[in-house]
Amino acid sequence: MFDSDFFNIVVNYINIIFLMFTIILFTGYTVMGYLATKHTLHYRRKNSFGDLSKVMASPLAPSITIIAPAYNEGMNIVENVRSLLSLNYVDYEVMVVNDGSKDDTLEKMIIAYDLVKIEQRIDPNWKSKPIRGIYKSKHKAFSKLTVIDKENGGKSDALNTGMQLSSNRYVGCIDVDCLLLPEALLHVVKSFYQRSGKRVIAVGGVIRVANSCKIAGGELEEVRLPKNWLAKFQLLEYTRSFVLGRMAWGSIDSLLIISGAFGFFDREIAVAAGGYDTNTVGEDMEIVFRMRRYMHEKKLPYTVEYIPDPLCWTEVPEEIKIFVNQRDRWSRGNLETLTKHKDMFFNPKYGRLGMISYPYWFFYEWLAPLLEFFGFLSILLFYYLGILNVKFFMAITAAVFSFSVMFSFFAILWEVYAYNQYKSKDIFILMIFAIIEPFIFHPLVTFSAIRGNYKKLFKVKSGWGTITRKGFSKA
Amino acid sequence: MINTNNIYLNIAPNVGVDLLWWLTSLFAVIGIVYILTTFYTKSSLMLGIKRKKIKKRELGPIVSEFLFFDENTATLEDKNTYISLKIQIRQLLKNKRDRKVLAEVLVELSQDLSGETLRSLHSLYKNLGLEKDALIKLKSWKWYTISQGILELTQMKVTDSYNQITKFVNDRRGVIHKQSVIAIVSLKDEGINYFLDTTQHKISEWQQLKLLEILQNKKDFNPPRFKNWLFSKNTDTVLFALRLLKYYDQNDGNEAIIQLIRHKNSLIRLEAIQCVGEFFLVEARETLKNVFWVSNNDCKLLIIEVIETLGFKEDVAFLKLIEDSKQVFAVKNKAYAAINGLMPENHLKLDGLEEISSDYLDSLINTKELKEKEASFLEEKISEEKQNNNTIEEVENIKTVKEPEDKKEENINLEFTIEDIEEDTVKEIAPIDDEKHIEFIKFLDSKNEEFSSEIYDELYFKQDKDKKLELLEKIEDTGTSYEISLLENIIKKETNEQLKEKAEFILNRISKNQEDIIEEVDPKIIFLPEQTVFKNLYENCDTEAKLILLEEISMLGDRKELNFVIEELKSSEHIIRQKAAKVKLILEKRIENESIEEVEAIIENDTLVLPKLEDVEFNINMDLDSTTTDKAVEPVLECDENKLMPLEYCFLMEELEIKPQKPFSLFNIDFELSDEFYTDQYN
Repeated sequence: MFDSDFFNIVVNYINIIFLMFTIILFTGYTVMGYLATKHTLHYRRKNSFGDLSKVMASPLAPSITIIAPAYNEGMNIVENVRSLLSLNYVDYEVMVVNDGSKDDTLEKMIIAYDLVKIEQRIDPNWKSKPIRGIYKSKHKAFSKLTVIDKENGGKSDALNTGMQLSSNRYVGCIDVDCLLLPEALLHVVKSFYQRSGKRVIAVGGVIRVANSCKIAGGELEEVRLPKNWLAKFQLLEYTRSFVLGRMAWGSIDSLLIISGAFGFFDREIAVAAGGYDTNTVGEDMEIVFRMRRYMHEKKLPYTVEYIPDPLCWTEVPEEIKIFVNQRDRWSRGNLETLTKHKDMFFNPKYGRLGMISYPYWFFYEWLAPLLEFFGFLSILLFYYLGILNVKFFMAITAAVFSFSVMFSFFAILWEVYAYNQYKSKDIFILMIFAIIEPFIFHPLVTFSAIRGNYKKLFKVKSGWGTITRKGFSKA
Repeated sequence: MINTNNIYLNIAPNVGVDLLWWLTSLFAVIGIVYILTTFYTKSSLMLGIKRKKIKKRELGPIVSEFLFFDENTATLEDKNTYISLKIQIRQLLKNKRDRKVLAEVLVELSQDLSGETLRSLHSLYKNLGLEKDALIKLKSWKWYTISQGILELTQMKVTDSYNQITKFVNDRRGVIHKQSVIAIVSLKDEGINYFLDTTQHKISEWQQLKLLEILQNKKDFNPPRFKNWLFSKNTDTVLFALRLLKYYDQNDGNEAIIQLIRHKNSLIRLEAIQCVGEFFLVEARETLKNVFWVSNNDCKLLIIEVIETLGFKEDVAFLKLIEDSKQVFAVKNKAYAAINGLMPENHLKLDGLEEISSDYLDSLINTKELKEKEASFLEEKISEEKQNNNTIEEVENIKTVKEPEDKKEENINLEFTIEDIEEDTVKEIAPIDDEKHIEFIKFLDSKNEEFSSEIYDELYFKQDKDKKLELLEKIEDTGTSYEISLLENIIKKETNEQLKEKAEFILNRISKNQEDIIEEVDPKIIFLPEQTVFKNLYENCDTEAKLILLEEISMLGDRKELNFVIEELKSSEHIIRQKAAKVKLILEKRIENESIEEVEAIIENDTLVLPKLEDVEFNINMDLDSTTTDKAVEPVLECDENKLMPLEYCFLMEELEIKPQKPFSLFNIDFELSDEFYTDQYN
């Protein structure tokens, strides 16, 4: 059977498919690297003129609401909110949505900020979980703070509630445990305001890893390399993704995802598009899809901006179980979003969105882990059957490995050029992690993706899971 | 295991393996290059920063010496040092890199200095000839270099470069034209005029924000009249001009602003509406109302806010229409808040009482007729708008308004039963949790009844002596016949002699007053028609004038003049008697007609036709023309003409606090406060 012509042809084709897939991947990443480089250089030069802080109190500066959903965040909520209240901007509001926390999140805020319940008319037709109360502080110093207490309905539901109750032009959806740098809102406003021909419907930014960093009084004092090995891998991954990947997609206005930890939206468009989808765990990606679709269908000129400045710092999981759960959820969210918007797949009606972004997400974000997984199984099977083409296997493995390491090195290089925040020793450690990543971290990511897809396809009940934070103050 | 050792060789692909190994080698080499570049970049970045720091530290004191050197106060030693530094700095300037660093130092310093020192810095920059380097940068083909040059010239206030920079205002490269605009506006006051006149590019919001910041920081800046750019072809120029107009409080472009409310661009529209509120342009009210139905939600919210700011109670009907139309919640809510703002009295909150239903007032306003009228009015206005829009460039074609039409179909039930009115009226008038108001309710409750001594007993006898005395003093000051029963009760039950005496004294006084009033106000006199105003004039004039006056009486006279005319029938002059006879006929006819018209008017126009208190069902018809929400709708009562009293008598009675027995009024409606009311009040 194995020496038949037919079998020979089939195996040959399988090899060619894998080869083509790999070559396209290489090409894609190379183009991505080029675009990111070009755009980063342009961005840095363009933004070297002028002083942002001078416009923070301008009468023309827009009003912004930062919506921070909080669920069982009692441990750090007071410090986190204090950090949010000390941003360098005049016209903004911090809206913390307590999503039916079971701990003392609300009580702690009431005591710390001297909150009192206020009366406000609420749209009776608004479809979100019932609001139990709206609180404002009695102190003028905390006048920017609004706390919404509602029944538990998930992150999307909490964000939708905030969006509905906000009356400002722009809304920022962030994770309450994220640390925003003081000038974050100035960058956001600039991104929303700098375009003149197109309407900026959303602004996303870089998420940086805050594990082990020195943070005091809600401010980042010293950037350090995470001590935890898993966090180090994630730092490397985030660097690749944000410094190169999103920068490149942003440069061709095809960014399809804005991180849930730091995303700002034009409220009018976000509400018109229907707000966050409460039936998906990938709500941050889904809302961008929907807002883009909305603008495409209305034939309105628009863009989604990306800020490469390191403005938002977050803690990443340091335990394998939590990490796997998080990536499992991301995979499910990815699949849910792609399924929901499947009519965009290679649909020229949606321009670059349908012809480039969607197919990329389909083949290289969703399908790649599955192919990797089945490729790995094939290798074992072929080896067991004795039909493994060792030469080809070795060559393609070496090529993929060297490319991935090279790409990680490139990302580290741009990290140094753009931010230069880590010490030489830390950079060296990161490089070593880049070499071992394909053997340790990548299989973990692939496993999580397979688990997420399995759960989704076989309808295994699963929600958000929980992430236990150490808290910045303990870092 | 199947032995297939030779098989894979046969089926191995011929292409790919070599290529893959070649690629692996390439990636490995590139990877190594990246490693080296990374560390090189890192060290060079650090080194560069370090070098600059050293150089700046070296140049810093020299620059300070130059800046603070004063020839008049300097000693000989200082002068020598100054000269040697000058030589040193001239040497430095020969080196291009040093020149660059020096320019950077000066530019950085300029951000931290102000006043005279800053001016010295600017002169130093020019004296050292550093501006020539910046001007050379303007000739570069690189956008970054040009922008840097413009920035340097701007920061060092090189006004001579103004003309050279203006040519970049319409450069196709974004960063250059933005930077040049900032430069020309910074360098000269007329820069803003030049920019607004000539710019062909869109002006981003960020750019506007920065330009305003520059203008704000200009000292003694005399802003141009920004209304001149309100009809620019560049919509961004219009938007910016509106913003500047508002910022500099220039209220000479009102007409243009009102026109711009109808602009297609929603941002311009928003800004124009804001200007309306800012400049209090009441004449824009109608335009705002028309534009409302074709605007986006942000505009709608702002329109409502501005209408509230303008503060016309007549606009409540429009706001009501919004509140009742199919709008998003935020808009309806805003309208509701604006109504509250304009007419807070209609939204009193009754703590402790059943929640007030605003249905009564709403129903009065939201009649079907009102809505139809408003809708047709809007349609008319919109069709007018359409016509206008054909002539005005960039002004939006306003579509047919659907909302009001929809509302036309919604028929509000205007049928009321007396119970509805009774209930709602009581709620409307029922005051909040004030003790005085409780007394007032009690007073209403009892005013058509015999005096309820129990209530006053309760009020009076529960007080201590001082309070009782205080109350009696109040009765003494303001008391009327209504207090007679109370006083009698006090005299009867009061144990304290002092209070008893006081009560007797007050009772006597009130009784005496009452008798005097009754004597003074003789009903016979009261019901006789009063003397006419014509009488005095008539008595002192000649025949011709008398005839003229009689003619006037025929046109204006009423019941009062009739008796006067009748007396004149006995006049000695024939011609007067003749005229008086004619006038008498006219007056009689008029009086008769007036009576009929009065009754007809009561039936037609208004309002409540309440035959009997017991006949509980009736309809309310609203006179739309006269309906405004700030007017209380008072029922006109059908009553016997003969029982009508002259107005003067009514005033007199009121002044004397004599309450004539009314046939019926809304306040006659008996009601009882629920138990919850009292419970809540006292808890």
